Amino acid sequence: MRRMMAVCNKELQAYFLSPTSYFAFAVYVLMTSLLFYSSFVYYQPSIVDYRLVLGDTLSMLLFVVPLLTMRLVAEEFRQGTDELLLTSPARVTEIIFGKYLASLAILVVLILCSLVYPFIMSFYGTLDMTTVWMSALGLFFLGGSMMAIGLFASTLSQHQMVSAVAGFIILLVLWMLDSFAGNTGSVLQQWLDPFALTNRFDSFMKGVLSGPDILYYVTLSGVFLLLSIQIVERKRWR
Amino acid sequence: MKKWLSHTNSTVLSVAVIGIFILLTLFLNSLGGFQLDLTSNKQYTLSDQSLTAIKDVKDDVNILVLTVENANNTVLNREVTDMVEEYTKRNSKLKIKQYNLTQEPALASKYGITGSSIVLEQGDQHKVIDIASLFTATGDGSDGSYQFTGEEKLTQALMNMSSTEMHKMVFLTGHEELSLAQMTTLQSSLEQNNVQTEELQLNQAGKVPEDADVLAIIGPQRDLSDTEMKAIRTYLSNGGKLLLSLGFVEDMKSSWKNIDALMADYGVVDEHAVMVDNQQASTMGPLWVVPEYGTHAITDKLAASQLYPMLSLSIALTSKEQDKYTLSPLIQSSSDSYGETNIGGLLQNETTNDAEEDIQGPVELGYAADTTDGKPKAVILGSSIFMQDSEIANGGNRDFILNTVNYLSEKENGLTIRPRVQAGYEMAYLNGEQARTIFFVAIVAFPLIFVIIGVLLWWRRRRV
Repeated sequence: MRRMMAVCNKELQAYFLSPTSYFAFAVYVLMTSLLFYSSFVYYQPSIVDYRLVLGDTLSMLLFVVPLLTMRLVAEEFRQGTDELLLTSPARVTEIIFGKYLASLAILVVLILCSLVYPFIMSFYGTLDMTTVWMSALGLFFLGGSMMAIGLFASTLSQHQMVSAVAGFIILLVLWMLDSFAGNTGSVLQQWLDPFALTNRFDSFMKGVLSGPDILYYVTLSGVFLLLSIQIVERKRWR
Repeated sequence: MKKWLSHTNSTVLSVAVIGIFILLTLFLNSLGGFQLDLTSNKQYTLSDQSLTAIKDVKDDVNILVLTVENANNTVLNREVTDMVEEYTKRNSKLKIKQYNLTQEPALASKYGITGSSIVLEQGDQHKVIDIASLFTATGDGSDGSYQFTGEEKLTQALMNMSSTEMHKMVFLTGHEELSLAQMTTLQSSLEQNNVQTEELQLNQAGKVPEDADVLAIIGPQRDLSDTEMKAIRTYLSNGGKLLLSLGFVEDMKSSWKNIDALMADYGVVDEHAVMVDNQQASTMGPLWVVPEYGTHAITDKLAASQLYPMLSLSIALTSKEQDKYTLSPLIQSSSDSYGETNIGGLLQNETTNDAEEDIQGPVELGYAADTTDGKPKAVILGSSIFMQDSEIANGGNRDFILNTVNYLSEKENGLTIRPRVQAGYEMAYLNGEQARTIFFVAIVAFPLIFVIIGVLLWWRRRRV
């Protein structure tokens, strides 16, 4: 646990002391703000409903998560510090979980940024706060599983951009899974639907805490963390 | 060897974990309603009746949500889709398909729909629910709050779909009644409610079919013949049920001998007066009455949902003492209304309330006659035009007549799912200054904060 926290602290310092992170945050915030502006202000009169705004801004996570996670492990491989890490007393599990924990902390910052929009909306009408808080919780679960996928992608290569692209592709496939078979209600769609990333987020936005949805995000994160551990372990044996 | 073993272990473990994840997700997904509804009015918690109806679906049902998208109905369309999703979560036999109606003219034509609708499709049969009919403003509508009866209507349609209970209703013709061709919407709604409809020319058929649950006489312009009266009375005395709905005729006072006699069998008296209502009239004028409901199984739920019919050229009815049936007033005009007996004057647009001659409000416009043991026998209404295609979509017209037929045909699966009251969604009308403020805060200042921190860090690092 102590070693895991040490890895986490090191990663958080890397995040928060790096100007690049802040420029990434700025781009994320600018893009989501533009989408918020277009859905809440551009068309008048607007409806004071956070769900309508969040639905538009959600897709920004697809771009920002791979950028935030790409360096997590790839950078260690590139700089050769992975050897130091892997020969340290810390187990691979602790290293991966430490890095994941740091990415969750960054996710919380992103969620806090996204709460600025309902805060602005609340000046112009009464918001249903249940759906706002539930949406924030949903963002944590959705973003958490996306961060795990980004971390996994980061273990695949020593080149950050390759990791980012791999992470983006995996996320995009899972994001679009429900629309691959079209809106036909076909058997294929029925099988794919439960695995689509965004479908699971709908319950949170409605104000419903759904057991299968939470477990989906938790197990999806678990699967990719375990795969990340296995990939790093393989490199150790190489 | 050790390396090979480790790699094999790692691969097996990874495959096993992915397999477990897939199976677990599919299993949890099949649990459907394993959830906690935190919305203030438990918006996504279905009633036991709905859950039973959903569980009872054994064959595949496609639920098509066809919506017309615009800024005004975004939230309402979403509410419908959310509700249908709650159904489809709980039984894999139910499948939701969403379409933009304007992009699907073929589907619109196939199901005969022109506005946002839910279509339930199972094999060859289908049922249509008009989405506009699911929403009713509450109170005076000023706060935008509304009632949503989607669950009741969707569950009813599902139950009708799986039900084998069929009813038959025959519509009398030959006296210039409203024909089924003039009431196609009603006919299709009845058929969706498992009520088969057909027209009956009594002079040709000789008798009312014994398997008919209800005989409907809608807006007759001519009187019944004595032979027809005899056939109708025979049918009714053998357990048949009657829906008699009057239509306006100039000389009704002198020429409706048998129709009046048929009504009198149930204690209802035709006053041959046309209702003029200055208080509860619609914007169309005083001959259009928006009546109040009496207390009865037909009207109670409609009153609770504030779904009132809009009637025109309605005939005033009263009742008289008799022993065989219990009469319940269904609809009545306001106290500020009167029944104009001077039909000639009315046709010349000359109508004043003559306290001596005219029937003083409130006046009954419809009665339900039940047998003394509480079984439905007849419904007699003073108006018919509200059933025809051009009028049936107004107010609660469709719901009122469907409830009436369901009651008469003793349909057992009538539902009592309470409508959900939703707070109106709030609209924000932003002016130019407010829009500029939001632009500055969200698009300029907010990202700038991160840029400034980034630049400061970069500057500090450069100096170090």
